[in-house]
Amino acid sequence: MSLIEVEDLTVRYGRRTALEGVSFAVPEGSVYALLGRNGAGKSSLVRCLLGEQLPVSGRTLLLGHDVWRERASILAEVGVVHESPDAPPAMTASQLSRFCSRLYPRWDGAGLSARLRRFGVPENVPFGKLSRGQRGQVALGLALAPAPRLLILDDPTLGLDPVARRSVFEELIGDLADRGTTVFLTSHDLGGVEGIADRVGILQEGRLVIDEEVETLKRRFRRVRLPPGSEESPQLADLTPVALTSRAWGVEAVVSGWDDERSALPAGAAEVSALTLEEIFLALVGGPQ
Amino acid sequence: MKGMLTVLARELAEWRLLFLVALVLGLFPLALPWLPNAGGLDPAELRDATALGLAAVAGCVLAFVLGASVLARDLSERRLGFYFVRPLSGAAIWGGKMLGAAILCLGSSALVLLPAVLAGGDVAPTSRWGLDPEVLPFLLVPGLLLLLVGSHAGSVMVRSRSPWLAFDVASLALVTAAFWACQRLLQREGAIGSLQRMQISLVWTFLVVTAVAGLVQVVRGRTDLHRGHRLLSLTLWSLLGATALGSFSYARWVLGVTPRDLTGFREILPAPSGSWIALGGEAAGRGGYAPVFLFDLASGRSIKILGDIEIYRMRNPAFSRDGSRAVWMSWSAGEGYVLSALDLRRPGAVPVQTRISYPQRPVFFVIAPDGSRVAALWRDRVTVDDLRTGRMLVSQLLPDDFEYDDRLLFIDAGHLRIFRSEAIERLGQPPVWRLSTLDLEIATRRIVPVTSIEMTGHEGGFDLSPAGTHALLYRYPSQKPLLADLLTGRTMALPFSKDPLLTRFLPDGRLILTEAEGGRVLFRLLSSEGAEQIRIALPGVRLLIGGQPAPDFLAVAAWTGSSKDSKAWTSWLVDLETGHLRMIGRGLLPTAVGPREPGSLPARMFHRGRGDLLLFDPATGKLQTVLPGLDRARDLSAPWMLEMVIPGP
Repeated sequence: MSLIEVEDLTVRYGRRTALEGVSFAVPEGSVYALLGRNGAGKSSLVRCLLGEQLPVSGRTLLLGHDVWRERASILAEVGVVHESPDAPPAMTASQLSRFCSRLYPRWDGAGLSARLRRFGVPENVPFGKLSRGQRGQVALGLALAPAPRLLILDDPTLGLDPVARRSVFEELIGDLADRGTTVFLTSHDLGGVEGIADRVGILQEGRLVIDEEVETLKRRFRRVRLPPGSEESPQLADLTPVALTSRAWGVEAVVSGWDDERSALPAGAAEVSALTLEEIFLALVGGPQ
Repeated sequence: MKGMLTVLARELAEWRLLFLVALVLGLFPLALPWLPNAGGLDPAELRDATALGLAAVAGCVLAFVLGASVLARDLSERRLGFYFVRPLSGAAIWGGKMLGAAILCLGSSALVLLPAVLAGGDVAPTSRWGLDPEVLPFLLVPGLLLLLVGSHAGSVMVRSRSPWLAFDVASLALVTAAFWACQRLLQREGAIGSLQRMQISLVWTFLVVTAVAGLVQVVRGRTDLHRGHRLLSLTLWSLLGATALGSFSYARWVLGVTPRDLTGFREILPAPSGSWIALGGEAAGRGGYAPVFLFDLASGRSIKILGDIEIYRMRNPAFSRDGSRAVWMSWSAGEGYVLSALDLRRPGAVPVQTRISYPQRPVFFVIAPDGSRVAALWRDRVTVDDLRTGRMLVSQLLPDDFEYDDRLLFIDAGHLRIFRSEAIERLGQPPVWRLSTLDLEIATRRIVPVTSIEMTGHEGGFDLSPAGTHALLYRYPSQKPLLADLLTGRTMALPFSKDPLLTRFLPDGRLILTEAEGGRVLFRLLSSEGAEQIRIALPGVRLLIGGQPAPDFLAVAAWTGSSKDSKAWTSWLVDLETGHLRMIGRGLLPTAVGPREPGSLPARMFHRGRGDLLLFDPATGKLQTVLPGLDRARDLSAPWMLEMVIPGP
């Protein structure tokens, strides 16, 4: 069963198109990472997923229900961490916990306290006075406390230092292992995502250009180094190059059609190597064409 | 509901300090009487007034500040998402936050008042500020809540900084202009009760509409400030536009009243001749709106001429003696009392505003017998204007100040007779009451004294004969009037034998005397020289003298019982030649109580209570309903009032 189903979603702000015909699904128990440059449409997509944004066309189902129509009831089983952790600034973590506990059918207040203690977040300091990292920890704790079936994280590591970033992902992984929670996240921390994501989607200018399992993606993307003048070779064309870079020693190509069993090296190729998720992302949306 | 209560509790907890501040603020008025500069003022008065003022200010300031911040600020600072990612409906978020703000606002105001109340103070705004207790509860709390939701709407508009703000400003201007125009329409027509009712309804409607617009903004716009603003504006201005249309429809409905919509006829003034009458009364379901109409008994045509029946009491409208023209004054801001006229003989004629206007109400106002001129009596002068051209023909200073009881009468279109009644106190001498008669020749503008009649006694009153040559003089408290010849100055005692009740002139100058005789009323007809012509007795203890449905026949109504009993009045037709009596009907009253042209339609008119208007046919003795009233069951005590307020022609 898919906990998230997005069908042909289009969002426009006036004349500007933020999302165009986006469709994907997130199976239960998986971790789906949505990647994209700033302005690619990630936040609009998350807002649609949370029922905060009405699309021009298409629909978004969360836990099998239309989220625009049934937002409040669906969100009882969904934990959310916003891009910039928000809560009334005068409320302390314990007050926030008490407030939220009245809204959810299940609430693990003790677990939340333990988590905050573990990360050294004071429970009696107003939310507005916490550091960026501490606010992120509170937001994550509040998202996990109702034991949600689905966790939606909008760039949860934005602005965090590397240590805090690592702890967020480790925390996530720990929870995922414990509970089998489905996670949908957007992030610019591709290194962190690569370690936890089962499936990845890449948004480019409002269109979903990649939507597949991370392992499959990494298997079909390769960096190929070729001698000078190989740009037009038919074998390279068969491998579907997505990025070509001219170097002093020759040409470096990123191909998306690699098959370990069937693909053959172009004549004169010097080297074929695997790519990280970040390298694939850069090749697709950031690198020179 | 649980979600809304959770949000509400959270709002109250966040702002709970406000209650404490309000309580402390409420202690301030208690200390005021001891402050050095409070000397001279009643301490309790000072305390209560200050407490009330502070409570009002606190309520308004909090309504404004909380309305602008509890939701709109969260939205613009992107903190509303905290609530929207929880299992909370938009309605619960909006309801919890706005209800919390309302409780904070009203609760704080109440807490400011609490110490003064506990100290035994009177802080009811109705008694302190002289506000209408029937209106205030409908305006004070909704007004404060309107400020709260309005502040939210305004804050969203300003914070979104979208081009829709221009649309808001334009819509606000349009809607304000529409409501202002609507209000002016009712105000100008004197429909003050309807206006007040509309204003109260509008405050509630504005409150509901603005609240609904805010709700739609949160429920449909959610965390998108621009989309929310757009939804708020579309909802708010479309609903307010519909409300403005509704208000216009209401105003049109109120002002489109016809005589058939009147619950009863409070005032009826038949023309001296012709077929027109003026009638006024309260319109059904229109908040006490009491317009005055000209109504043609012959054709059934009616024209609304005044929206305020009170103006009608000032001899307004005035009919010319030949029944050809009606003239009336209506108030117009900037112009004063403007005269309008209607040609009663021309079918389909519409009221025409003349060029004549008065800066204030005259002491007395009269139209010439042929309808060509109007004359007005002021405290120090008399003016005559030509109705057709609007030209002032005469503005002549008078020797003394004139007052309400003084009168004018056109002898003909070229001559005006002025009557002045005054009480004269001379040191060491008994008081004297004097009636002076002066004639004004309009062509020469010359005022000539005619007679001056003095009588010992306190101030009295007088009734004029239709020609203005004779008068009945009353010296209060004496019930027995004297007959005075105003051209010679001679007075004559009338031959009363019993207790006098009512004395009236007939159109031909003859006199009717009525006297109480045991359980009957003695009816005596005297010639203009005072010779008795007929004497008859009617069952009853009081008599009302009506018009002459036919020459030599007079309608009278005798009262035999309680004024609450509509059947206690019985109308009779008296044959003035033979004294023969014919019953017209029970529970009926003749409408024309002053001299009218014998046989004219107004002289044949009767009414049942304050309801049905009926036309009597003296030939067949049948009554025909001309205008059915909605309030025919009302008591018949009206004729005395009619008699007092309706002057002779």
